[in-house]
Amino acid sequence: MTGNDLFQMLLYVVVLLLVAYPLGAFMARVLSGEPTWMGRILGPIERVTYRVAGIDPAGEMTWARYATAAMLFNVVGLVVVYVVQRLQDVLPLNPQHLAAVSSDSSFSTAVSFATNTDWQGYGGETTLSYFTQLMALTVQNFVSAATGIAVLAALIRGFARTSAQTIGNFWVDLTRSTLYVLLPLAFALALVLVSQGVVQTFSAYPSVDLAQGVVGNDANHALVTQQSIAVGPAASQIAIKQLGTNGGGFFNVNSAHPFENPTPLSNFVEAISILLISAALCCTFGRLVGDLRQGWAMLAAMTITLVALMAGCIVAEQSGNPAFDALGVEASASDSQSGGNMEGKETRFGIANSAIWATATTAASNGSVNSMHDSFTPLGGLVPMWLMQLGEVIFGGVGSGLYGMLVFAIIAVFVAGLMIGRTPEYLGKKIEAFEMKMASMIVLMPPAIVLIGTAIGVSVATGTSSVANPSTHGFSEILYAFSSAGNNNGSAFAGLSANTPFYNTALAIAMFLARYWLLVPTLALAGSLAAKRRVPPGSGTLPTHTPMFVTLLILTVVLVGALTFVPALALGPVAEHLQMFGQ
Amino acid sequence: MDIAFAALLVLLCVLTAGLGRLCASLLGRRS
Repeated sequence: MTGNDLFQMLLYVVVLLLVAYPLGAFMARVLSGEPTWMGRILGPIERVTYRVAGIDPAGEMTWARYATAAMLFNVVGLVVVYVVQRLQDVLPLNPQHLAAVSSDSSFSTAVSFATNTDWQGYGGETTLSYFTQLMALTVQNFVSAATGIAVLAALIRGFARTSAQTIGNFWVDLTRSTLYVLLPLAFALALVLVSQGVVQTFSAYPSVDLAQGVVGNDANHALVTQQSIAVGPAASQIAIKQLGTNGGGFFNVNSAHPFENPTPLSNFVEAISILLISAALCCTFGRLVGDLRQGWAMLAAMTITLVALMAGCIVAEQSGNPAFDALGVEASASDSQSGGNMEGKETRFGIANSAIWATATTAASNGSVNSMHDSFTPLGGLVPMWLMQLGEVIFGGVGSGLYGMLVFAIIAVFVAGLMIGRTPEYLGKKIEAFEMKMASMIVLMPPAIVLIGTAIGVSVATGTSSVANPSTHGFSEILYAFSSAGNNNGSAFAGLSANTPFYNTALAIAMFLARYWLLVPTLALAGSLAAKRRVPPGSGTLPTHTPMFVTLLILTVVLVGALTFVPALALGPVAEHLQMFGQ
Repeated sequence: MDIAFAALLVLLCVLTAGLGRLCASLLGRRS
């Protein structure tokens, strides 16, 4: 690791934590229904929204009603995204006259954006109209993120309340998260991105004369003298795709595209945005349960794991490819070059900013990419893949990351209780059989989806025929795709032609189950915890804000991830690494 | 194909509702 790599990584982490703290305090006020300084402007909009929608903001919901509302809202949104894609050829804002999207691709994309995954089997600029990008995808970027925050708020209330039958109001949580947190942040970020050169226009794609004609690759080999440049209302979508840990790019190459991420400054701001809300929610959690130290413990566990894996990814990429050494290519870092493995990376970002982004985007369930993960070294590519396989709890998606981590905390106190004979309780709530059943379901569901999906993918001809690279790397491509869908990340390893009926359908099922089959038991857990009395801490209580507990939590996450996925990783990136360095 | 995907969505929703009922019944059994 070079000095520049280290500096960039530390700068990223320090700035992230500094910005997250005040935002976390603000979100605590939003989620507890307290007035905020934005209330004078946004309060009337909030009240009108409730009145028009017929919502009683004071009406509380049981966990079952909360789950039903969340599911209904998400399924309606999913259907809308599907229908808009299927009818986009007759809808407005389609200056390129793009055709309706195929049914399997529409279904995959609809599930993908409703579940906050944003896996993309299509190329945005060649497939989707501006109307579809705005009214279908960008809307889902907001509301799917708000759904995650709402479910987290419900779980936190489960811990904070005593002998309660309700866990809040889904519609209020959804509205307040969107109105007070996501919309203002996205508006501000979009303006910053426009200042850096991210496009925001409804114009049709302009055509420009090429400086030098090129021979086309069609049958006639005609001379091509003009190029169409894809543009569109990108900045407004990029802002929320990063903040909401959605990740779906306006353009096919996502944040490697100069119109999505033009400068080192835009890259830094976008990379911070990826983890910002998830980090801030740890502070929000601490405030809402009345013990900030609990939030710091969560944030510490996430940050330590992130930094360790980020450093590993940077070292692997900076080490480069041994095949280049054999050819005598100079691959060490210097004033004139980044050195290392620059295949698939933008020269304006270099090794450090590509590896930092790859780690952040897979730690969060974001999935946007500024470099091609398929071209990473085997161990460099293992890091983002494993971060997803850990269950998207290292910061994770907005809301979903922290509620996943809280489930791991429940498992950690249970394991600790078994080991040392202490009463398993967390934040004053006794952890009993029901909580452990729900926690086990939540933790085991994603690995089951990923491993069964991958097994099917490598077993059927329609699965293997989409692989661009044979052997171990091809296995990694399929494993990565199901890891991404089965943990609602959405990043692609590339190299896998996933816009096929098989992958569109299989990955859609994986994304749906990974989101909603975790959301429902999480809300059941919230309902169960809310109904319990709070037990005052005694001599037998395991403190959950200490470095010891942070270590235990990290070990629990890492051990579950390692025990579940090491055999699969051994067949893919580990075997590829041994092949590469064993020659 | 639209009908096939609609049927798949309905199936996924029914299974999710079943999961919800399972969670509710486990919770109810405890109390």
